[in-house]
Amino acid sequence: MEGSHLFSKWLNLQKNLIYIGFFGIFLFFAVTLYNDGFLTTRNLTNIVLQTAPATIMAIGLVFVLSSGEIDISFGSIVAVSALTTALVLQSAPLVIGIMAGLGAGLAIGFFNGIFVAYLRLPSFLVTLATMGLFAGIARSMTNLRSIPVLNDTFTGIFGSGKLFSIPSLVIWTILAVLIGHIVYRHTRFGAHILAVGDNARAAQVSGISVARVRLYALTLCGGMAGLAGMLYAGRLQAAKYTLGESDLMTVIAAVIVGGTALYGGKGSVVGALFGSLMMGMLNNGLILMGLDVSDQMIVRGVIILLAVALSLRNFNRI
Amino acid sequence: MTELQPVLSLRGINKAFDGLVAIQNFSLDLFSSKIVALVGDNGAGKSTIIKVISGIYPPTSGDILLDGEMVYFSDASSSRSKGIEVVHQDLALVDEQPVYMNMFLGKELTKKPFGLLNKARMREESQNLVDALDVRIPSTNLAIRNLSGGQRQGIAIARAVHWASKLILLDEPTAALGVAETAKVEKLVSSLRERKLAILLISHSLDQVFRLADQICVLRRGEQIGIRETSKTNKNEIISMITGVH
Repeated sequence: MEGSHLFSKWLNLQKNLIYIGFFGIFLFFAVTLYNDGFLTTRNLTNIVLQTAPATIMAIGLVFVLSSGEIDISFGSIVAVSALTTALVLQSAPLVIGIMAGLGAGLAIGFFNGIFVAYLRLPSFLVTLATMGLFAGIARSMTNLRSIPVLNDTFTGIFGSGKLFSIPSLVIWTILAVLIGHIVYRHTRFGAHILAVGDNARAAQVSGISVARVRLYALTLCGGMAGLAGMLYAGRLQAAKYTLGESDLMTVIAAVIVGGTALYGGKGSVVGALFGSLMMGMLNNGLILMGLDVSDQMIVRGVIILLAVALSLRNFNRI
Repeated sequence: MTELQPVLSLRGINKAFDGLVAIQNFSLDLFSSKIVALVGDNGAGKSTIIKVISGIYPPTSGDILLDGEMVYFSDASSSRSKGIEVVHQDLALVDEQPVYMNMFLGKELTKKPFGLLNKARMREESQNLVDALDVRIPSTNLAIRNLSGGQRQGIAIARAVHWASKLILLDEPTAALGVAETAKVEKLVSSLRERKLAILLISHSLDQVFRLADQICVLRRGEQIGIRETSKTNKNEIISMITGVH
Protein backbone atom coordinates (compact mmCIF):
# COMPACT_ATOMS: atom_id res chain seq x y z
CA MET A 1 0.00 0.00 0.00
CA GLU A 2 2.42 2.58 1.18
CA GLY A 3 5.16 1.02 -0.84
CA SER A 4 8.64 0.33 0.29
CA HIS A 5 8.72 3.15 2.80
CA LEU A 6 10.56 1.70 5.74
CA PHE A 7 8.82 4.19 7.98
CA SER A 8 5.38 3.10 6.86
CA LYS A 9 6.26 -0.54 7.23
CA TRP A 10 7.26 0.07 10.79
CA LEU A 11 4.03 1.90 11.33
CA ASN A 12 2.04 -0.94 9.80
CA LEU A 13 3.67 -3.33 12.21
CA GLN A 14 2.58 -1.13 15.07
CA LYS A 15 -0.88 -0.76 13.63
CA ASN A 16 -1.14 -4.53 13.84
CA LEU A 17 -0.12 -4.57 17.48
CA ILE A 18 -3.67 -5.36 18.57
CA TYR A 19 -3.73 -8.48 16.42
CA ILE A 20 -0.33 -9.58 17.66
CA GLY A 21 -1.44 -8.97 21.25
CA PHE A 22 -4.73 -10.72 20.67
CA PHE A 23 -3.19 -13.86 19.24
CA GLY A 24 -0.38 -13.79 21.79
CA ILE A 25 -2.83 -13.85 24.68
CA PHE A 26 -4.96 -16.39 22.87
CA LEU A 27 -1.99 -18.72 22.41
CA PHE A 28 -0.89 -18.22 26.00
CA PHE A 29 -4.31 -19.24 27.35
CA ALA A 30 -4.68 -21.98 24.78
CA VAL A 31 -1.52 -23.63 26.06
CA THR A 32 -1.74 -22.92 29.78
CA LEU A 33 -5.48 -23.46 30.09
CA TYR A 34 -5.83 -26.31 27.61
CA ASN A 35 -6.92 -28.72 30.31
CA ASP A 36 -9.30 -26.19 31.82
CA GLY A 37 -11.42 -26.05 28.69
CA PHE A 38 -10.32 -22.67 27.33
CA LEU A 39 -10.19 -23.96 23.78
CA THR A 40 -13.61 -25.62 23.75
CA THR A 41 -16.07 -24.25 21.23
CA ARG A 42 -18.46 -23.65 24.06
CA ASN A 43 -16.01 -21.49 26.00
CA LEU A 44 -14.88 -19.52 22.96
CA THR A 45 -18.46 -18.90 21.89
CA ASN A 46 -19.18 -17.78 25.41
CA ILE A 47 -16.44 -15.16 25.20
CA VAL A 48 -17.98 -13.71 22.04
CA LEU A 49 -21.46 -13.76 23.58
CA GLN A 50 -20.31 -12.05 26.74
CA THR A 51 -18.41 -9.34 24.90
CA ALA A 52 -21.19 -8.58 22.40
CA PRO A 53 -22.61 -5.56 24.30
CA ALA A 54 -19.12 -4.16 24.97
CA THR A 55 -18.18 -4.57 21.32
CA ILE A 56 -21.30 -2.64 20.26
CA MET A 57 -20.48 0.16 22.71
CA ALA A 58 -16.87 0.16 21.54
CA ILE A 59 -17.92 0.74 17.93
CA GLY A 60 -19.97 3.78 18.95
CA LEU A 61 -17.02 5.08 20.94
CA VAL A 62 -14.68 4.70 17.94
CA PHE A 63 -16.81 7.25 16.10
CA VAL A 64 -16.88 9.68 19.01
CA LEU A 65 -13.15 9.47 19.75
CA SER A 66 -12.33 9.78 16.06
CA SER A 67 -14.30 13.01 15.90
CA GLY A 68 -12.10 14.42 18.65
CA GLU A 69 -14.66 14.07 21.44
CA ILE A 70 -15.27 11.51 24.16
CA ASP A 71 -18.35 9.92 25.67
CA ILE A 72 -18.10 8.43 29.14
CA SER A 73 -21.85 8.34 29.71
CA PHE A 74 -22.52 5.28 27.55
CA GLY A 75 -22.70 2.96 30.59
CA SER A 76 -25.62 4.97 31.96
CA ILE A 77 -27.25 5.02 28.54
CA VAL A 78 -27.07 1.21 28.52
CA ALA A 79 -28.98 1.04 31.80
CA VAL A 80 -31.64 3.59 30.83
CA SER A 81 -32.20 1.94 27.44
CA ALA A 82 -32.43 -1.55 28.89
CA LEU A 83 -34.90 -0.42 31.55
CA THR A 84 -36.93 1.57 29.03
CA THR A 85 -37.23 -1.46 26.77
CA ALA A 86 -38.14 -3.75 29.67
CA LEU A 87 -40.80 -1.35 30.97
CA VAL A 88 -42.33 -0.69 27.57
CA LEU A 89 -42.40 -4.40 26.71
CA GLN A 90 -44.56 -5.06 29.77
CA SER A 91 -47.51 -3.48 28.03
CA ALA A 92 -46.55 -2.87 24.41
CA PRO A 93 -45.69 -5.05 21.41
CA LEU A 94 -42.16 -5.99 20.40
CA VAL A 95 -41.52 -3.29 17.83
CA ILE A 96 -42.53 -0.51 20.19
CA GLY A 97 -40.23 -1.94 22.87
CA ILE A 98 -37.27 -2.05 20.49
CA MET A 99 -37.95 1.46 19.25
CA ALA A 100 -38.23 2.72 22.81
CA GLY A 101 -34.88 1.23 23.84
CA LEU A 102 -33.05 2.40 20.76
CA GLY A 103 -34.84 5.75 20.88
CA ALA A 104 -33.80 6.32 24.49
CA GLY A 105 -30.16 5.72 23.54
CA LEU A 106 -30.31 8.00 20.52
CA ALA A 107 -32.11 10.70 22.49
CA ILE A 108 -29.52 10.75 25.28
CA GLY A 109 -26.72 10.74 22.73
CA PHE A 110 -28.41 13.65 20.97
CA PHE A 111 -28.76 15.44 24.31
CA ASN A 112 -25.00 15.02 24.90
CA GLY A 113 -24.36 16.13 21.35
CA ILE A 114 -26.26 19.40 21.63
CA PHE A 115 -24.11 20.50 24.56
CA VAL A 116 -20.90 19.42 22.89
CA ALA A 117 -21.55 20.47 19.29
CA TYR A 118 -23.55 23.65 19.65
CA LEU A 119 -22.66 24.98 23.10
CA ARG A 120 -19.06 23.84 22.61
CA LEU A 121 -18.70 22.51 26.13
CA PRO A 122 -15.95 19.93 26.64
CA SER A 123 -17.39 16.51 25.92
CA PHE A 124 -15.56 14.96 28.84
CA LEU A 125 -17.35 17.25 31.31
CA VAL A 126 -20.71 17.07 29.54
CA THR A 127 -20.75 13.28 29.51
CA LEU A 128 -19.31 13.10 33.03
CA ALA A 129 -22.34 15.07 34.13
CA THR A 130 -24.83 13.09 32.05
CA MET A 131 -23.25 9.84 33.20
CA GLY A 132 -24.27 10.74 36.73
CA LEU A 133 -27.55 12.24 35.65
CA PHE A 134 -28.74 9.18 33.73
CA ALA A 135 -27.34 6.72 36.25
CA GLY A 136 -29.60 8.50 38.74
CA ILE A 137 -32.53 8.37 36.36
CA ALA A 138 -31.93 4.66 35.80
CA ARG A 139 -32.05 4.08 39.55
CA SER A 140 -35.20 6.09 40.07
CA MET A 141 -36.99 4.63 37.05
CA THR A 142 -37.78 1.41 38.91
CA ASN A 143 -36.70 2.22 42.44
CA LEU A 144 -33.64 0.01 41.99
CA ARG A 145 -35.83 -2.95 41.14
CA SER A 146 -34.96 -5.29 38.32
CA ILE A 147 -37.57 -5.61 35.57
CA PRO A 148 -38.04 -9.02 33.92
CA VAL A 149 -38.25 -9.26 30.14
CA LEU A 150 -40.80 -11.92 29.33
CA ASN A 151 -41.26 -11.31 25.60
CA ASP A 152 -39.82 -14.47 24.05
CA THR A 153 -39.36 -12.94 20.63
CA PHE A 154 -37.36 -10.11 22.16
CA THR A 155 -35.11 -12.38 24.21
CA GLY A 156 -34.68 -14.49 21.10
CA ILE A 157 -33.63 -11.63 18.86
CA PHE A 158 -31.46 -9.89 21.43
CA GLY A 159 -30.32 -12.77 23.59
CA SER A 160 -30.55 -16.51 23.41
CA GLY A 161 -31.93 -16.99 19.91
CA LYS A 162 -30.18 -18.50 16.92
CA LEU A 163 -30.31 -18.02 13.19
CA PHE A 164 -28.98 -20.94 11.09
CA SER A 165 -27.56 -22.20 14.39
CA ILE A 166 -25.53 -19.00 14.85
CA PRO A 167 -26.29 -17.29 18.19
CA SER A 168 -28.03 -13.96 17.73
CA LEU A 169 -25.42 -12.10 19.79
CA VAL A 170 -22.76 -13.29 17.37
CA ILE A 171 -24.87 -12.07 14.46
CA TRP A 172 -25.34 -8.69 16.15
CA THR A 173 -21.60 -8.44 16.66
CA ILE A 174 -20.81 -9.30 13.05
CA LEU A 175 -23.47 -6.94 11.71
CA ALA A 176 -22.34 -4.05 13.90
CA VAL A 177 -18.69 -4.48 13.00
CA LEU A 178 -19.44 -4.87 9.30
CA ILE A 179 -21.76 -1.89 9.04
CA GLY A 180 -19.63 0.17 11.43
CA HIS A 181 -16.51 -0.53 9.41
CA ILE A 182 -18.15 0.40 6.11
CA VAL A 183 -19.62 3.61 7.49
CA TYR A 184 -16.30 4.51 9.13
CA ARG A 185 -14.04 3.80 6.17
CA HIS A 186 -16.19 4.07 3.09
CA THR A 187 -18.72 6.86 3.53
CA ARG A 188 -18.52 10.63 3.50
CA PHE A 189 -19.83 10.66 7.07
CA GLY A 190 -16.89 8.53 8.21
CA ALA A 191 -14.45 10.71 6.29
CA HIS A 192 -15.93 13.83 7.86
CA ILE A 193 -15.71 12.34 11.37
CA LEU A 194 -12.01 11.72 10.85
CA ALA A 195 -11.44 15.15 9.31
CA VAL A 196 -13.17 16.94 12.18
CA GLY A 197 -11.21 14.97 14.77
CA ASP A 198 -7.93 15.59 12.99
CA ASN A 199 -8.22 19.26 12.10
CA ALA A 200 -11.58 20.87 12.78
CA ARG A 201 -10.57 24.13 11.11
CA ALA A 202 -9.52 22.37 7.93
CA ALA A 203 -12.82 20.53 7.95
CA GLN A 204 -14.71 23.76 8.43
CA VAL A 205 -13.01 25.70 5.64
CA SER A 206 -13.62 22.69 3.41
CA GLY A 207 -17.32 23.14 3.90
CA ILE A 208 -17.92 20.33 6.39
CA SER A 209 -20.47 21.18 9.07
CA VAL A 210 -18.28 20.52 12.08
CA ALA A 211 -21.04 20.93 14.65
CA ARG A 212 -23.35 18.54 12.84
CA VAL A 213 -20.63 15.91 12.56
CA ARG A 214 -19.98 16.10 16.32
CA LEU A 215 -23.71 15.92 17.05
CA TYR A 216 -24.14 12.86 14.85
CA ALA A 217 -21.11 11.12 16.37
CA LEU A 218 -22.45 11.47 19.91
CA THR A 219 -25.98 10.53 18.84
CA LEU A 220 -24.65 7.44 17.10
CA CYS A 221 -22.71 6.48 20.22
CA GLY A 222 -25.88 6.84 22.28
CA GLY A 223 -27.77 4.64 19.82
CA MET A 224 -25.09 1.96 20.00
CA ALA A 225 -25.22 2.06 23.80
CA GLY A 226 -29.00 1.70 23.53
CA LEU A 227 -28.55 -1.39 21.37
CA ALA A 228 -26.03 -2.76 23.87
CA GLY A 229 -28.58 -2.20 26.63
CA MET A 230 -31.14 -4.25 24.71
CA LEU A 231 -28.61 -7.04 24.18
CA TYR A 232 -28.02 -7.17 27.93
CA ALA A 233 -31.76 -7.18 28.60
CA GLY A 234 -32.25 -9.92 26.01
CA ARG A 235 -29.49 -12.15 27.29
CA LEU A 236 -30.29 -11.73 31.00
CA GLN A 237 -34.05 -11.63 30.34
CA ALA A 238 -34.19 -8.72 32.73
CA ALA A 239 -33.08 -5.11 33.02
CA LYS A 240 -31.47 -3.48 36.02
CA TYR A 241 -29.88 -0.14 36.76
CA THR A 242 -26.47 -1.80 37.19
CA LEU A 243 -26.25 -2.82 33.52
CA GLY A 244 -23.36 -1.15 31.77
CA GLU A 245 -22.06 0.24 35.03
CA SER A 246 -18.77 -1.65 34.90
CA ASP A 247 -18.17 -1.42 31.17
CA LEU A 248 -16.60 2.04 31.04
CA MET A 249 -12.99 0.97 31.62
CA THR A 250 -13.21 -2.15 29.50
CA VAL A 251 -14.75 -0.41 26.53
CA ILE A 252 -12.38 2.56 26.54
CA ALA A 253 -9.44 0.19 26.89
CA ALA A 254 -10.74 -1.99 24.05
CA VAL A 255 -11.08 1.00 21.74
CA ILE A 256 -7.68 2.51 22.54
CA VAL A 257 -5.90 -0.83 22.38
CA GLY A 258 -7.69 -1.40 19.09
CA GLY A 259 -5.86 1.52 17.55
CA THR A 260 -8.20 4.46 17.93
CA ALA A 261 -6.46 7.68 18.88
CA LEU A 262 -7.67 9.26 22.11
CA TYR A 263 -7.49 12.71 20.51
CA GLY A 264 -9.22 12.02 17.26
CA GLY A 265 -8.39 11.69 13.60
CA LYS A 266 -7.79 7.98 13.38
CA GLY A 267 -9.15 4.72 14.54
CA SER A 268 -10.42 1.29 13.62
CA VAL A 269 -13.73 -0.49 14.04
CA VAL A 270 -12.20 -3.90 13.42
CA GLY A 271 -9.46 -3.03 15.90
CA ALA A 272 -12.12 -2.19 18.48
CA LEU A 273 -13.70 -5.61 17.93
CA PHE A 274 -10.40 -7.33 18.62
CA GLY A 275 -9.74 -5.03 21.56
CA SER A 276 -13.10 -5.99 23.01
CA LEU A 277 -12.55 -9.70 22.36
CA MET A 278 -9.14 -9.43 23.97
CA MET A 279 -10.67 -7.92 27.11
CA GLY A 280 -13.29 -10.67 27.18
CA MET A 281 -10.65 -13.33 26.67
CA LEU A 282 -8.57 -11.94 29.53
CA ASN A 283 -11.57 -11.96 31.79
CA ASN A 284 -12.38 -15.52 30.85
CA GLY A 285 -8.81 -16.79 31.06
CA LEU A 286 -8.16 -15.26 34.44
CA ILE A 287 -11.30 -16.83 35.85
CA LEU A 288 -10.34 -20.22 34.43
CA MET A 289 -6.91 -19.80 36.00
CA GLY A 290 -8.68 -19.68 39.30
CA LEU A 291 -7.65 -16.18 40.26
CA ASP A 292 -9.94 -14.59 42.77
CA VAL A 293 -11.67 -11.33 41.96
CA SER A 294 -9.05 -9.05 43.48
CA ASP A 295 -6.20 -10.81 41.66
CA GLN A 296 -8.18 -10.65 38.42
CA MET A 297 -8.60 -6.92 38.81
CA ILE A 298 -4.90 -6.44 39.42
CA VAL A 299 -3.80 -8.56 36.47
CA ARG A 300 -6.36 -6.98 34.18
CA GLY A 301 -5.32 -3.51 35.29
CA VAL A 302 -1.67 -4.23 34.60
CA ILE A 303 -2.40 -5.69 31.19
CA ILE A 304 -4.64 -2.80 30.19
CA LEU A 305 -2.02 -0.33 31.34
CA LEU A 306 0.63 -2.14 29.35
CA ALA A 307 -1.52 -2.40 26.25
CA VAL A 308 -2.66 1.20 26.38
CA ALA A 309 0.89 2.43 26.97
CA LEU A 310 2.13 0.45 23.99
CA SER A 311 -0.63 1.45 21.64
CA LEU A 312 -0.57 5.11 22.60
CA ARG A 313 3.14 5.23 22.03
CA ASN A 314 2.49 3.66 18.70
CA PHE A 315 -0.34 5.76 17.56
CA ASN A 316 0.27 9.20 18.85
CA ARG A 317 3.87 10.21 19.01
CA ILE A 318 6.88 8.99 17.16
CA MET B 1 -11.69 41.08 -27.94
CA THR B 2 -11.09 44.76 -27.45
CA GLU B 3 -11.21 45.11 -23.71
CA LEU B 4 -10.25 42.39 -21.27
CA GLN B 5 -12.82 41.89 -18.56
CA PRO B 6 -11.45 41.32 -15.07
CA VAL B 7 -12.31 38.02 -13.43
CA LEU B 8 -12.82 39.77 -10.14
CA SER B 9 -13.29 43.44 -9.44
CA LEU B 10 -13.30 45.06 -6.06
CA ARG B 11 -14.87 48.52 -6.14
CA GLY B 12 -14.53 50.88 -3.22
CA ILE B 13 -14.43 48.18 -0.58
CA ASN B 14 -14.68 49.39 3.02
CA LYS B 15 -14.55 47.13 6.02
CA ALA B 16 -14.92 48.22 9.62
CA PHE B 17 -14.99 46.18 12.78
CA ASP B 18 -17.10 47.83 15.48
CA GLY B 19 -16.41 51.23 13.94
CA LEU B 20 -12.69 50.56 13.60
CA VAL B 21 -11.72 50.93 9.98
CA ALA B 22 -9.71 47.96 8.69
CA ILE B 23 -9.95 48.63 4.96
CA GLN B 24 -10.94 51.84 3.26
CA ASN B 25 -11.85 52.45 -0.34
CA PHE B 26 -10.01 49.48 -1.77
CA SER B 27 -10.31 48.79 -5.48
CA LEU B 28 -8.55 46.11 -7.47
CA ASP B 29 -9.02 44.21 -10.71
CA LEU B 30 -7.78 40.66 -11.08
CA PHE B 31 -7.36 39.18 -14.55
CA SER B 32 -7.03 35.59 -15.62
CA SER B 33 -3.47 34.36 -16.10
CA LYS B 34 -2.17 37.27 -14.04
CA ILE B 35 -0.60 37.22 -10.61
CA VAL B 36 -1.19 40.21 -8.38
CA ALA B 37 0.78 40.50 -5.16
CA LEU B 38 -0.75 42.17 -2.15
CA VAL B 39 1.96 43.60 0.10
CA GLY B 40 2.00 45.63 3.27
CA ASP B 41 3.23 45.57 6.80
CA ASN B 42 1.63 43.49 9.53
CA GLY B 43 -1.84 44.79 10.22
CA ALA B 44 -2.07 46.61 6.90
CA GLY B 45 -5.25 44.69 6.09
CA LYS B 46 -4.02 42.01 3.68
CA SER B 47 -5.78 39.17 5.44
CA THR B 48 -8.95 41.23 5.71
CA ILE B 49 -8.96 41.64 1.93
CA ILE B 50 -8.58 37.87 1.50
CA LYS B 51 -11.44 37.28 3.92
CA VAL B 52 -13.66 39.79 2.14
CA ILE B 53 -13.02 38.13 -1.23
CA SER B 54 -13.51 34.63 0.14
CA GLY B 55 -16.75 35.55 1.84
CA ILE B 56 -15.67 35.14 5.46
CA TYR B 57 -16.22 38.87 6.16
CA PRO B 58 -18.86 40.67 4.17
CA PRO B 59 -17.67 44.20 3.26
CA THR B 60 -19.19 47.12 5.16
CA SER B 61 -19.64 48.85 1.83
CA GLY B 62 -18.41 48.50 -1.73
CA ASP B 63 -19.02 46.06 -4.55
CA ILE B 64 -17.54 42.77 -5.63
CA LEU B 65 -17.93 41.88 -9.29
CA LEU B 66 -17.25 38.44 -10.65
CA ASP B 67 -16.94 38.35 -14.44
CA GLY B 68 -18.61 41.75 -14.48
CA GLU B 69 -21.57 40.66 -12.39
CA MET B 70 -22.25 41.87 -8.91
CA VAL B 71 -21.93 39.09 -6.33
CA TYR B 72 -22.48 38.82 -2.63
CA PHE B 73 -20.73 36.11 -0.63
CA SER B 74 -22.44 35.28 2.63
CA ASP B 75 -19.85 32.68 3.67
CA ALA B 76 -16.80 30.78 2.50
CA SER B 77 -18.78 28.09 0.71
CA SER B 78 -20.66 30.61 -1.41
CA SER B 79 -17.41 32.01 -2.80
CA ARG B 80 -16.09 28.50 -3.37
CA SER B 81 -19.16 27.58 -5.35
CA LYS B 82 -18.33 30.50 -7.64
CA GLY B 83 -14.84 29.18 -8.33
CA ILE B 84 -12.76 31.03 -5.75
CA GLU B 85 -10.33 28.99 -3.66
CA VAL B 86 -8.09 30.05 -0.80
CA VAL B 87 -4.81 28.41 0.17
CA HIS B 88 -4.65 29.21 3.86
CA GLN B 89 -1.47 29.99 5.68
CA ASP B 90 -1.93 26.97 7.95
CA LEU B 91 -2.75 24.81 4.91
CA ALA B 92 -6.06 23.39 6.17
CA LEU B 93 -4.99 19.82 5.50
CA VAL B 94 -5.94 16.78 7.55
CA ASP B 95 -2.71 15.15 8.71
CA GLU B 96 -3.75 11.56 9.21
CA GLN B 97 -5.66 11.27 5.95
CA PRO B 98 -4.09 10.29 2.65
CA VAL B 99 -3.36 12.85 -0.05
CA TYR B 100 -6.34 11.85 -2.17
CA MET B 101 -8.80 12.29 0.69
CA ASN B 102 -7.38 15.75 1.37
CA MET B 103 -7.71 16.65 -2.26
CA PHE B 104 -11.43 15.94 -2.02
CA LEU B 105 -11.97 17.04 1.57
CA GLY B 106 -15.61 18.03 2.06
CA LYS B 107 -16.38 17.14 -1.56
CA GLU B 108 -15.62 13.44 -1.55
CA LEU B 109 -16.62 11.50 -4.64
CA THR B 110 -19.08 8.67 -4.16
CA LYS B 111 -20.35 5.88 -6.33
CA LYS B 112 -23.69 4.27 -6.87
CA PRO B 113 -25.74 2.55 -5.61
CA PHE B 114 -24.88 2.92 -1.91
CA GLY B 115 -23.12 6.26 -1.98
CA LEU B 116 -19.87 4.75 -0.77
CA LEU B 117 -16.62 6.65 -1.31
CA ASN B 118 -15.14 6.24 -4.75
CA LYS B 119 -11.56 5.97 -3.55
CA ALA B 120 -10.23 4.62 -6.83
CA ARG B 121 -11.42 7.65 -8.76
CA MET B 122 -10.24 10.11 -6.11
CA ARG B 123 -6.81 8.46 -6.18
CA GLU B 124 -6.67 8.58 -9.93
CA GLU B 125 -7.76 12.20 -10.23
CA SER B 126 -5.37 13.25 -7.48
CA GLN B 127 -2.52 11.45 -9.17
CA ASN B 128 -3.30 13.13 -12.49
CA LEU B 129 -3.39 16.51 -10.83
CA VAL B 130 -0.13 16.19 -8.90
CA ASP B 131 1.52 14.86 -12.06
CA ALA B 132 0.20 17.73 -14.15
CA LEU B 133 1.41 20.27 -11.60
CA ASP B 134 4.68 18.44 -11.04
CA VAL B 135 4.12 18.13 -7.30
CA ARG B 136 6.42 15.25 -6.49
CA ILE B 137 5.12 12.89 -3.85
CA PRO B 138 5.81 9.15 -3.55
CA SER B 139 2.13 8.21 -3.58
CA THR B 140 -1.31 9.74 -3.19
CA ASN B 141 -1.96 7.04 -0.59
CA LEU B 142 0.48 8.61 1.82
CA ALA B 143 -0.90 10.45 4.80
CA ILE B 144 -0.18 14.19 4.78
CA ARG B 145 1.76 13.68 8.02
CA ASN B 146 4.45 11.85 6.03
CA LEU B 147 5.05 14.69 3.57
CA SER B 148 7.51 17.58 3.75
CA GLY B 149 6.42 21.19 4.13
CA GLY B 150 6.92 21.86 0.44
CA GLN B 151 4.99 18.77 -0.56
CA ARG B 152 2.14 19.78 1.74
CA GLN B 153 2.03 23.25 0.25
CA GLY B 154 2.06 21.62 -3.17
CA ILE B 155 -0.95 19.51 -2.21
CA ALA B 156 -2.79 22.53 -0.79
CA ILE B 157 -2.20 24.47 -4.02
CA ALA B 158 -3.09 21.47 -6.18
CA ARG B 159 -6.34 21.16 -4.28
CA ALA B 160 -7.12 24.82 -4.89
CA VAL B 161 -6.32 24.39 -8.58
CA HIS B 162 -8.61 21.39 -8.77
CA TRP B 163 -11.59 23.27 -7.40
CA ALA B 164 -10.96 26.84 -8.54
CA SER B 165 -12.35 27.83 -11.88
CA LYS B 166 -11.59 31.54 -11.60
CA LEU B 167 -9.40 32.73 -8.79
CA ILE B 168 -6.93 31.43 -6.21
CA LEU B 169 -5.97 33.42 -3.14
CA LEU B 170 -2.58 32.43 -1.76
CA ASP B 171 -1.86 33.51 1.80
CA GLU B 172 1.90 33.39 2.43
CA PRO B 173 2.45 30.17 0.47
CA THR B 174 6.13 29.84 1.32
CA ALA B 175 6.30 31.34 4.81
CA ALA B 176 7.32 28.07 6.45
CA LEU B 177 9.51 26.62 3.70
CA GLY B 178 13.22 26.27 3.08
CA VAL B 179 15.04 27.68 0.06
CA ALA B 180 14.74 24.69 -2.26
CA GLU B 181 11.12 24.07 -1.36
CA THR B 182 10.29 27.74 -1.81
CA ALA B 183 11.69 27.61 -5.33
CA LYS B 184 9.50 24.62 -6.14
CA VAL B 185 6.36 26.22 -4.82
CA GLU B 186 7.15 29.43 -6.70
CA LYS B 187 7.51 27.45 -9.89
CA LEU B 188 4.15 25.87 -9.21
CA VAL B 189 2.49 29.23 -8.53
CA SER B 190 4.00 30.66 -11.68
CA SER B 191 2.68 27.74 -13.72
CA LEU B 192 -0.88 28.53 -12.64
CA ARG B 193 -0.95 31.30 -15.27
CA GLU B 194 -1.20 28.60 -17.93
CA ARG B 195 -4.41 27.43 -16.33
CA LYS B 196 -6.09 30.77 -17.00
CA LEU B 197 -6.58 31.39 -13.29
CA ALA B 198 -6.36 34.76 -11.61
CA ILE B 199 -4.00 34.72 -8.63
CA LEU B 200 -3.85 37.03 -5.65
CA LEU B 201 -0.69 36.43 -3.66
CA ILE B 202 0.07 37.65 -0.17
CA SER B 203 3.75 37.56 0.63
CA HIS B 204 6.19 39.15 3.01
CA SER B 205 9.10 38.44 0.72
CA LEU B 206 9.61 41.25 -1.77
CA ASP B 207 12.11 39.12 -3.66
CA GLN B 208 9.38 36.58 -4.17
CA VAL B 209 6.85 39.21 -5.15
CA PHE B 210 9.20 40.54 -7.80
CA ARG B 211 9.89 37.05 -9.08
CA LEU B 212 6.24 36.06 -9.36
CA ALA B 213 3.85 38.96 -9.67
CA ASP B 214 2.69 40.90 -12.71
CA GLN B 215 1.33 43.68 -10.53
CA ILE B 216 1.98 44.77 -6.97
CA CYS B 217 -0.71 46.32 -4.82
CA VAL B 218 0.44 48.09 -1.65
CA LEU B 219 -1.63 48.47 1.50
CA ARG B 220 -0.75 50.59 4.52
CA ARG B 221 -2.99 50.70 7.58
CA GLY B 222 -6.03 49.74 5.57
CA GLU B 223 -5.36 52.31 2.93
CA GLN B 224 -4.58 51.46 -0.66
CA ILE B 225 -1.33 53.23 -1.47
CA GLY B 226 -1.11 52.21 -5.09
CA ILE B 227 -0.77 49.53 -7.73
CA ARG B 228 2.39 49.16 -9.81
CA GLU B 229 3.35 47.04 -12.78
CA THR B 230 6.20 44.88 -11.55
CA SER B 231 8.22 45.63 -14.66
CA LYS B 232 7.93 49.39 -14.13
CA THR B 233 8.85 49.63 -10.47
CA ASN B 234 11.63 48.61 -8.13
CA LYS B 235 12.02 47.41 -4.59
CA ASN B 236 12.90 50.82 -3.21
CA GLU B 237 9.69 52.31 -4.49
CA ILE B 238 7.61 49.45 -3.08
CA ILE B 239 9.39 49.63 0.28
CA SER B 240 8.76 53.34 0.57
CA MET B 241 5.11 52.74 -0.33
CA ILE B 242 4.84 50.05 2.35
CA THR B 243 6.52 52.08 5.08
CA GLY B 244 5.48 55.58 4.05
CA VAL B 245 9.10 56.73 4.45
CA HIS B 246 10.61 58.45 1.45
